[in-house]
Parts: sequence; structure tokens; C-alpha cells
Amino acid sequence: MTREVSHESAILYCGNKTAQDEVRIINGSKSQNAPLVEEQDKLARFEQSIMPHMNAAYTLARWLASNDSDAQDVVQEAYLRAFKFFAGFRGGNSRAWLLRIVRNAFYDWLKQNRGEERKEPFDEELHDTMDERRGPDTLLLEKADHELVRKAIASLPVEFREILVLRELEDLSYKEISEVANIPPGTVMSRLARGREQLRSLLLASLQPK
Amino acid sequence: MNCNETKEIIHGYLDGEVDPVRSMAIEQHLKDCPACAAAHRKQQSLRTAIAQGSLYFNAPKGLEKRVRSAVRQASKAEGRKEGGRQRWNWNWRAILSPLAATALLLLIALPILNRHSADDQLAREIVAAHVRSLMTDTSHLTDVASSDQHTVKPWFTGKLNFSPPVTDLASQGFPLLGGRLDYIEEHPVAALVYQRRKHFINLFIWPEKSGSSGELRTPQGYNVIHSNHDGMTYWAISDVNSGDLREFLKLAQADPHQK
Repeated sequence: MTREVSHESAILYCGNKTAQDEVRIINGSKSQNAPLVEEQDKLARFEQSIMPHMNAAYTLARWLASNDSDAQDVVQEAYLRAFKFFAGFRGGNSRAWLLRIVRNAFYDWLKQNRGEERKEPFDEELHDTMDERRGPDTLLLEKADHELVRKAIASLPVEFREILVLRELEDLSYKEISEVANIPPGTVMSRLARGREQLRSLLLASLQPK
Repeated sequence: MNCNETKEIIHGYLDGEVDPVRSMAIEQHLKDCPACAAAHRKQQSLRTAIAQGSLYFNAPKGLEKRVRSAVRQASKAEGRKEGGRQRWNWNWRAILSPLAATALLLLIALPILNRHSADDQLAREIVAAHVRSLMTDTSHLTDVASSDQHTVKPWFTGKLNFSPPVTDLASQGFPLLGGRLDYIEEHPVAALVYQRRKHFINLFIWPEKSGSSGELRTPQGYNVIHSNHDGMTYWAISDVNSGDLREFLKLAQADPHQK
């Protein structure tokens, strides 16, 4: 560090000033408006790196909260938190960083507003037997229209829904998902596997005539 | 790769989270096993259904405007608060010098850490070469197919700048199948192929003395043993059990004239 600065000042000031003088000049000129300048700088960086992820943030919030107006509240709260913590952002995937905050904001909001979300136990046995009886389903699945797929995902338990959304819609890697959802990396794949299995059963059940 | 192993990591495979060596092993297994291939197709059709569902939302127009102004408001408030307070004149060097010290420490430690990862890297190359040699029937396995050591050994002459020791170990239960050229750590090396019952063993040999001996079991289920002998470095890899592989390497390194 020191060597670099003195080298630079030697070139710039032809040896008239020492490295210490140089540093004092920089600090001196900055100290008066430093807070404002720093704050503006932070805002500019925030708007550049975090604001563009609004659709990603809204998509996650929308799938978690299940409706538009709650999702908007969650996103706004998340952005304010993100701005507050922005100094702690160490680079890396800014979208994943924001999504982690969105997720936390959602769960906090959930606690305040709804209590815990009702958890309907998923009847795996029922869906499994249905599966077997109905035979090959690959073609059938491809007929599923948007609305059916939407409904099926929406009816998944939230811990599977969020992992599926992070993987299939936000396209995050397993490592990023484990950081966003705060679960061990080894759990990501098994939860995805179970989530997909449940989703498939739900879709098939809605596609087959009763 | 068997059905259970495939079933366990098929989702990682679908998501592109499996390393190339295991990916290849899965692809091979999907070719061979109709049940696993059907399970794989099922998962693919589900992904297609999700992809066609246009499930991604665009943020409503008003939201971005609202968020932007809320953040600016927060930023202004923060600026006023900071401005009113007497600020310390940050001495950035005092903050940065621990960072510089850490960086220096890393600079010193990295070569040491790297030595380990270099071995890891080499082991990965060995696994990849082994898997490659066994892919799609066994046509990649040998360039010269012969159980006669007096055919295999001269075959390497002129192709390598060293002469690998070649011994047929059929009488000890490891018949020689042949040899081929391979490419490890940016050098052409000798690869000898042996068989143990239904299993294949690749033995990579090149002149070098560095690196410590050792053995490991890779996550893919291969046993790998490395040791140096007589100015050559030996890497044996196979899915036979580690006891057999150890015995094999000992036999391969024994001086043929003393047997």
C-alpha cells in the first residue's frame, strides 16, 4: 500500500510532496461533504445493482404471498431493508442476495399478518397410488395449460414452493438456493425432488377425469 | 452408476449440478436402463410443463416507482443524519491494513493449499481418463489389444519417450488386456489395461518421482491408488475393491525377474 502511494506521488508531484501530504490532501478535500457524497454514491450503486431485480423480487414475493397487493408490500419492505444492509453486500450475485432478503421479509410479514400459514399435510400415499393406476403420463403432462400449472404450484406447501420457484423461475444454482432459503446445500436437491414429485402428482390428478 | 445411485442424483443431473464425470456415468446408465430412462423422461416433461406455464411475473408499473422513491427518501434521511453527526475522519489505511495482512497470509498459504488441490486435480484427471476409456462399449479401452506383454511393451516404443514396465499378471488373476496412449497433466502417458473378473483396471504410468503415495475412494465409487516405484509414478484405478487393487499394484511393480 505505502509503496504504491509514494510511487504515485513521486510521479505526480515530482518529489516536492511526501506521500503523507498527498493523503492529507485527499482526506482534507473529502471530509466536508463526505457523508452526503458517500450517501449519494451508495444510492447510485444501489440503483444500478439492485433495482434491476424488481421482477425477480416480485415473482418470488408473488409466489410466496399468493396475491398481488401482499407481494407488493413484501417487495417494498425488502427493498428498504436491502438498502439499509447494502453496505454489507460483498459483491457476488446481487439477485440472490436480494431474493434472500425478500424471502426473510415475506416470513416476517407472514408472522405479523397471518400467523403461521396453514399447512395441509400432503397425502403422498393417495397421490402415489393414483399415479400407478393411471399409467404413462408423459404425454398427458405436456397438455397441462398455464392455469393448471399455476394452480398446482400454488397449492404446494410453501417450503417446496419456494425451492421450486428459486430453481425453475429464478434459475438459481443449488448453492445459491441454499443461501437464499437458509438450508444446507445437501437438502436442496432432496427438497426439489420431493417438490417436483408432489407437483407431478397434483398436475396428473387435475388432468385426469375423475 | 447403478439404478439407486442414478435415482439419487437424477435431479442434480437435470439441473446441471453434477460434475462431468458423474454426468457421463449417468448418461451411460440412462442408455442402458429403460426404467431409469423413463423416470428421466417423466421429470423432463414436468420441466417442460413448468417452462410453458409462463409463471414469471412482471412487477406492476406503480411498484417500481414507489420503491424507488421510498429508497431515495431513506437515503436522504440517512445523509442528513450522517451530516449532522461529527464524522470521524476515517483513516482508511488503518481499516485496510488488516485486509492487506490477510491477503499476504493467503499469498503464503495458497501454494501450500494448492499442492493439495494439484493432487486432487490429478486424481480427477485419472478418474476422467478411466471413465472415458470405458465409455460406449470398450472401443476406447486399448490401442493395442494383447495379453502378451512382449507385444504390448514394444508397441509403446517410439510413441513415448520412456518405456513402461509391462507384466502380464494372468496367473495372479489380473490378465493383461492391452495398452493405449493417454494424456494426463499435459503429457502423453502409458495406460495399461487389466481385468479382474468383470472389472477393468487402468494403470497409468509415467516417469516422475514427485508426489506422495496414497489411496482414495472417489465419490463416483472408484478406488484410486498412487505410488512411486523405480523412477516411475503409478496410478491404478478401478471399481474393484481396494484390497484387490492394492495387491494388483504391488504385483505390477514387482521385478519380473525375481518372480
